[in-house]
Amino acid sequence: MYRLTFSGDEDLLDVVLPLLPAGVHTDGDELVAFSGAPFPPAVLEATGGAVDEVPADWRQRQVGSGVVISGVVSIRSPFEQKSSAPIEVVVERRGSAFGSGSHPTTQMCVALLLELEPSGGVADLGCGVGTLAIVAAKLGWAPVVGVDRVPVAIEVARENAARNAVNIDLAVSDLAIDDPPLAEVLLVNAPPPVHARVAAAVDERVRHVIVSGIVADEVEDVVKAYAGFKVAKALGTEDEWIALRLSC
Amino acid sequence: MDRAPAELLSPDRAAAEGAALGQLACELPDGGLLITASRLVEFGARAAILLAPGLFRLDLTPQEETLGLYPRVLCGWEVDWRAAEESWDGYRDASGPAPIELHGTFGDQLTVWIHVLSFTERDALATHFVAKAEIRPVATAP
Repeated sequence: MYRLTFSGDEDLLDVVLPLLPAGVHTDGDELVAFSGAPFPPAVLEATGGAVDEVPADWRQRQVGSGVVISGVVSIRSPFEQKSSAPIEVVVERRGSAFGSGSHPTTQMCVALLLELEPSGGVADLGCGVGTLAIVAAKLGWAPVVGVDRVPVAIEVARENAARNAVNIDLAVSDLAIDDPPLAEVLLVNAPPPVHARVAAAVDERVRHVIVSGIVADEVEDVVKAYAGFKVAKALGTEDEWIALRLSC
Repeated sequence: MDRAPAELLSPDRAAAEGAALGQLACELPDGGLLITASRLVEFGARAAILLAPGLFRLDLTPQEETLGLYPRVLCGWEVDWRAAEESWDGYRDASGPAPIELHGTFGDQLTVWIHVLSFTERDALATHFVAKAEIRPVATAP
């Protein structure tokens, strides 16, 4: 396996990307391409990059260590390298289950949760593979419950909870039909219809709702649904994903 | 127009310049160019999936739960891209995956429909893409 490391801009990519079917990875300020065969002379000439041989084990090419949020929480797959973050969450994903930590909404929910002092329970509604619930448990929130309507998600979430040595009550539940479990903090990384259902069920036990899974033009209606709560903190991404902490 | 339409809609040129990508191209029966390609792209890599020489290149960067799209314009025309947003993030749609759809117009000369299907292989930390672009002169666009 050959590795080509080079620097360049969009104009250079115009030349080399049509010649590199596997594409290029970004590694810091540099671009890296891999190939099982020697790179074409045209690519070497255009990039002026350095070629070296690397082991053919593609997993070794995962240069990252998952994501690190606020310098505190690392979320990574079992295949990725360990980070130096003080709290490490290792999650696996299967099937259609959501929540590997790669999605910006998951990361923003963690950032918002980190700003709260752990004091009570957390309910992760639409927990996917359990990532947010595991983060909450590792931060010291208890008890932690998680529900999702996808059975395989709960199956994997249980495996992930065991992998991370945390105690979480996980159950299959369809929030379109079932009443949501309530706690001092609700984590609701889900589309607007789920927020409507949860907002209608919220009672005095709930002090904070961390809302995500919505885009900018859905914010107004979702916030309005959580009557009695105010936006305490809002985060957003360039591609319009929004996360809010609503508090009362 | 900075290039002759006949050259831009040449399947031979599209196949030749996209050969390293395994791209196929043919002429559409009612005039225009069809290009197709399929590719396995590792998470985090930016890879060209479609190349319409002299017009555009579409690059994709799959992540486990997100997908970056980079339509790169390769001509001097004013270009307008529009997406069918309901097909944008399939995981929010309980009815199942649908092709991502992009529509582009190149000045008042050409119109492009792009469809991209994706299948994520988490064990391989990669995503399979199947993509096609239909490029037609505006006068013959359906």
